[in-house]
Amino acid sequence: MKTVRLNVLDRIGLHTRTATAIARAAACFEADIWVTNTNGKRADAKSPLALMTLGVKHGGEIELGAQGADADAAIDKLCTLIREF
Amino acid sequence: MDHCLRGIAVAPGAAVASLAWLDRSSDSAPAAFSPPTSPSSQREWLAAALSECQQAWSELTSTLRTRGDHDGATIFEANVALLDDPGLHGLVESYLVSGHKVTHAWAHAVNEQATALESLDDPLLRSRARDFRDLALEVQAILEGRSAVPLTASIPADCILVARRLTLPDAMRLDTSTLRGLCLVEGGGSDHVAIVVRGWGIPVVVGVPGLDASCTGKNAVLDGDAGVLVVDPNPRMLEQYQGRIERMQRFDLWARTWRRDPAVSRDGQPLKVYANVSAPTDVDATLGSGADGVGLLRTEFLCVDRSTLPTELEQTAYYRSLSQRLGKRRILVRTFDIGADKTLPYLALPPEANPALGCRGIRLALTRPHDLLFPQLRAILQGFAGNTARILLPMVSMLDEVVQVRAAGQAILEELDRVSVPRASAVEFGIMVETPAAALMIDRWADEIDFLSIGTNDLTQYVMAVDRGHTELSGLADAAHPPVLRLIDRVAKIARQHDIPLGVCGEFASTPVGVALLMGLGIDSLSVHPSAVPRTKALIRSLEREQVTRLARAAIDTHSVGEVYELLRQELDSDLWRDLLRSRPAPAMATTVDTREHSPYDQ
Repeated sequence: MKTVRLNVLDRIGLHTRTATAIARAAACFEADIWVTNTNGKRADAKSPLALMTLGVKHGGEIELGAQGADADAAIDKLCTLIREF
Repeated sequence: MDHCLRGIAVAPGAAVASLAWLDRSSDSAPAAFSPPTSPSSQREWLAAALSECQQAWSELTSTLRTRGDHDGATIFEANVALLDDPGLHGLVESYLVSGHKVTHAWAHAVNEQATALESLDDPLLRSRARDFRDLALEVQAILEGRSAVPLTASIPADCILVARRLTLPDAMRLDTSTLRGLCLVEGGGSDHVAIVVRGWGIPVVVGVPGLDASCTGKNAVLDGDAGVLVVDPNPRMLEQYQGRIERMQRFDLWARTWRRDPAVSRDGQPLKVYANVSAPTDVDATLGSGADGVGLLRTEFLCVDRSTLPTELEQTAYYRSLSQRLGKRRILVRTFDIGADKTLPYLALPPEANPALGCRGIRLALTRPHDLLFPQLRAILQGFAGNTARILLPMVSMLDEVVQVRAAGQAILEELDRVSVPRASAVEFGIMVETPAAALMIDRWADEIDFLSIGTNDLTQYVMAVDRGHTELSGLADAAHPPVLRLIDRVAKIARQHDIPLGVCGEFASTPVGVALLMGLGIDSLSVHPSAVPRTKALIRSLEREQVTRLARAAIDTHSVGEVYELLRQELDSDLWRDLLRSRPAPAMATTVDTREHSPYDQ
């Protein structure tokens, strides 16, 4: 299992566009991938709706976690993606 | 007895027609429909319904893209993608497994997910939840055996359409060629639907209470300027509105007929009307509109919908093709006006607390000259080979910014000459006057500047200290306020003294009030949206330069914007101008890359 903390820099945080982008990228991996917000609420990274319900705003901190065969690759890919927002 | 209902004006204009209520919920299942019963066939049924909807939605998205609405298409696609959400489908599955019918499973799963979004108390998410529900309803309709009745079949021609609300897909499906107006019971001015309908050219009013199916067939007046629907208007009101509509139609026809002629005032003073080009699709519109040239070529569209900056080669090809299509016409090329608020993720711009006051435009270009400034300058200077290259710099607030760009331009020219690459035969540098700093310093900078373009949208924002996208304070974001007029007057005087061509390219330039005041302040040219060119020329032709000059001088002397409008109403009292002054300025056309803080395409 691997976890990483990062900030979502997109101007409006985790909304449709960013949530869909993360879900699409996460769907390519077998691992279980999740995102946790600062309130401890956890969402399946492959579900854009769940990501949107985390209420992550511009600059908000999230914890990205993955467990499974390609967990490391998943984390790397998603981190790169989120940092480019 | 006439019945006057107030709402929110979304799109200007007036219409007199009969009302037609749109009620989608009356689509009923054909009697012979029997849904499948086994769980596996239920899943197949859902998959088939989804697939049918996805097909229809993807066609709608293509339509949006061909219309040039890339932002709209992207957001619609993102909304559509939500319907593939694994969490949603997991919920549906659990309902199916516990024995529910797929129609029930889908409806409840959608409701749970939408409610989760709505419960966060975030207006943007609530708006998304509504779009999500709307799309899910289309799937629901198919599951229940209701075929989507084509909208055009149920709407009579030449009517004012009335509905509780309009979903985005439905708005995109409407055949607007015979629609005279749109009136919605629910909704606000900045919903997605409002953005789409503004481009239709018919009056639209939303938030009008007290309407239902019983209004069908009644005669009505829809006033998209005042935001009012009058049902069963009395004869006098009918006559007034009909008169107004006929005058506007005659004016528009006159404007279209004579659009290719140069615009000359009634007392023989010419004023050039150029077009604002935001994307390649605007070039055809520009050529057909009668514009005298391009007063503002926005280049940001070259940067969107991709993952890297456009290369020098790509840019050169574009400028070259533009230069060839537009020939010797005047073209002002504005260098990239981007900043932290524009969604160009690959630039990895650090977020700013105040993007409107941050590192954008020429400032950003000068901090990243090798990827932003030099390639663009090189491309423009090569693309305009054989012609004059006119380079317009955005967000200038210091003379040094101009000096540096000129020096860079000079170095590039020398280099191109050294290797014998064809390049522009003449080069001019001009600045956007959008910061108060620039407006106040023009006299000292005159020697370094070949032409000027006042960006009234941003200038008004900075002078009146108001966010141009602010809804409650939108009355402040009006260039007719005397302080803004005074600054424009100052710039105009200095431009005249130093013989520097002066244009205006903001929204103000295409409004009747703007045309009158700017002409009166001695501006040389106006640059407007291609669709507004014919009308702008017609407005110029309807005015006397001498009269508006007196008007502008008086306007500068007033205490408030209210007095300015009062003056205009008193002085411009022809039937035509009385009608024109009644209209509010048309809202800005959505551009591909927008400097507004709260873009209507926010997700």
